[in-house]
Amino acid sequence: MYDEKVSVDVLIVGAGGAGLRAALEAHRQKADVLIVSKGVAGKSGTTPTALTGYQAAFGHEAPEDNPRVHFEDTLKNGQYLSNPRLVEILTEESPQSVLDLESLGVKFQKRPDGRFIQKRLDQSQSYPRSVRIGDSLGAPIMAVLRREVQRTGIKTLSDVYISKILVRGGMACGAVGIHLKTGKLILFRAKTVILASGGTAELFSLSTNPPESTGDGYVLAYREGAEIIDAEFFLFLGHAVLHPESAKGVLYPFQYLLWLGARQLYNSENEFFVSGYDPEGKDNPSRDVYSRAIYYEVREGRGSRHGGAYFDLASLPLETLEKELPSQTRFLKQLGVDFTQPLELGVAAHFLCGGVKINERCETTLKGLYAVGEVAGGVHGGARIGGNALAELFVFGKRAGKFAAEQALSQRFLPCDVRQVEAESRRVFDFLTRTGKPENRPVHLKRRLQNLMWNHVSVARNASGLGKAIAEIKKMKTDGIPNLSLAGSHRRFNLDWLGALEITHMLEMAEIIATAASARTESRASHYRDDFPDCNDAEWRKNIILSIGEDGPRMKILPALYNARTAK
Amino acid sequence: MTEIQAKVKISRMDPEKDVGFRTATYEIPYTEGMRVAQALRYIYENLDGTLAFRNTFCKRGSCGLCRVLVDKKPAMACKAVMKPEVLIEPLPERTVVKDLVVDFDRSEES
Repeated sequence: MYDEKVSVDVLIVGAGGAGLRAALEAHRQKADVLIVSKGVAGKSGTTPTALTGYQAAFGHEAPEDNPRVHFEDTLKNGQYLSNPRLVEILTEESPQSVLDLESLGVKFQKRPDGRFIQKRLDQSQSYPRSVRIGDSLGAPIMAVLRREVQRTGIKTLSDVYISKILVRGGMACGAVGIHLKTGKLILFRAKTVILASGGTAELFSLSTNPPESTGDGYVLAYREGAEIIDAEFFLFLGHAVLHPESAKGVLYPFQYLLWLGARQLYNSENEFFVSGYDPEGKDNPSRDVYSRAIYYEVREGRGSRHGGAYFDLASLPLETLEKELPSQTRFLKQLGVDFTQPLELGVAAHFLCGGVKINERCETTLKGLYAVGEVAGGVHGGARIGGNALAELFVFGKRAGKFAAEQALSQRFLPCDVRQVEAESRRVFDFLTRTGKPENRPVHLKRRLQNLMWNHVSVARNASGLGKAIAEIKKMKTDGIPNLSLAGSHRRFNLDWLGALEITHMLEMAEIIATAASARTESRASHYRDDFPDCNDAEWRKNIILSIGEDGPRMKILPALYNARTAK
Repeated sequence: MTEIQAKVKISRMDPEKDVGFRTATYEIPYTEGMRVAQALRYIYENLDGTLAFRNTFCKRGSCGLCRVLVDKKPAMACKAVMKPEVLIEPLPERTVVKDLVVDFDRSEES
């Protein structure tokens, strides 16, 4: 049934910034912690890719800035769907999260007088607020967290794919996972489980994330009855490199260069077009506006050669690019980008603003299951300000670790339900018996899904496209999955086996996103419906909450909490 | 225009079955400026789905998980320029899990 059994107080699924931060805090509370990672613990995931954004309202650059302004900016950018209590926590505790990291050894850039250097990324922030380490925040923060996890002796296990959360009497009591290195099934018994498993951008043909963002965590929670909130709000960016092929999906955050005099994006007719798409006509608007602007320019035949827009690299001296965006400039050169030519930038999937619904203790609606980071929902509402992701990871990572450890230390292990483990073992190993149809490999089903999502559930959506997408996703679930065929039946690092498990989760997640997007008959923040192009505050200042039902997601539509509050 | 082919030789081994490495050779469409990671992905998706490699891309050139030996020199597959003929092997200093995948868990290397 299972090959190995491991027992820990707190099991953390995911080893990016949120997972490591949660682990450190849980360990500090004296809980026995294990971090498992689908990739390599502390190196995989999306945190290391974070570039220039970490919002923390120290007010060092602009004394008018403070957590209250950060709160207002965040609510406004998410068009008032965030849980205001979570935003309060985010904005009040973010400066402390920076200081916590600093005390572990992260070297944020400071002035000689000790004040942080803070930058404004775009006009969604009222003041310069983002702390900085050159153009590369994620990697150095992760290096410090990795070292700290090692120093404190917290156990990590890489190459583990968690395929199911175990539940007993309405409480999470562990998980089942495959150790990809050996193909062995591991039963993890845990008093509490923290999902820190990242996002789901791999649902779309082009993404800014590493390919491991397949939405596993959302689906693990959803399958056991936890609620998913704001799933229709998928943030697409407009600054992903489109050419050459080797650099596809790499981000070049040029918006920040606009403050330094760089020319704004232009289309094939040499026109600046971005501000025309912003309701307030801003010339450097928030990120969702960029993606929509480029999307429509391309659709109307004014796109760049590879389906995006042009950024004039020569509008700033190369030394400025090398100084302001040193690591991205260097990396793009290494990938063969010619800096004497305009750079083609375009739309790519970046971040799911919603996720597994949490409260201020990072508890999901399933007892014993916690969620933190991108997988969690409620903080960002309809869109996310650049730099609120890192703030979220480290503010709520600390909280998840603290509260999950406290709960774990106050209770005993629940016995796991053997039948659940048996059924999961059968499901997982059954894939290995299916080979011989090379046209039905998981990668083929994944490409089909990615194209479908790109065409109908991405930047611009409408009823007919979404209806088609939902029908097609259901068909892939009922026909595609049972007919999957792997290239080999070996257990050891079998990428097709992993692919089969992932695409199963991806289809579930695709259905969740498309269902929510289809229900929201208005346009708001990162969700744009070309059949309902206006924001409808009277009817839609509401959150859509999905949970698993008999035949697809069940839906609840509740007034947004901020709305309810102000209405009083 | 005729398509140029590249010859990619890859060291392969499943430690449960094999005593040593064998070299598999794949022919793939070659484009100027192509990187090794693209070649590996092409082979896995189109020619041989049993190939094991770390199919990731941090998009920053920093994680180092795609590191392999390219013609005997360590390199990140995302950055390493493809040549018309190339030999790809796993990093020598770590335990091979399968083919090009090596073990990054220190705790297990006791």
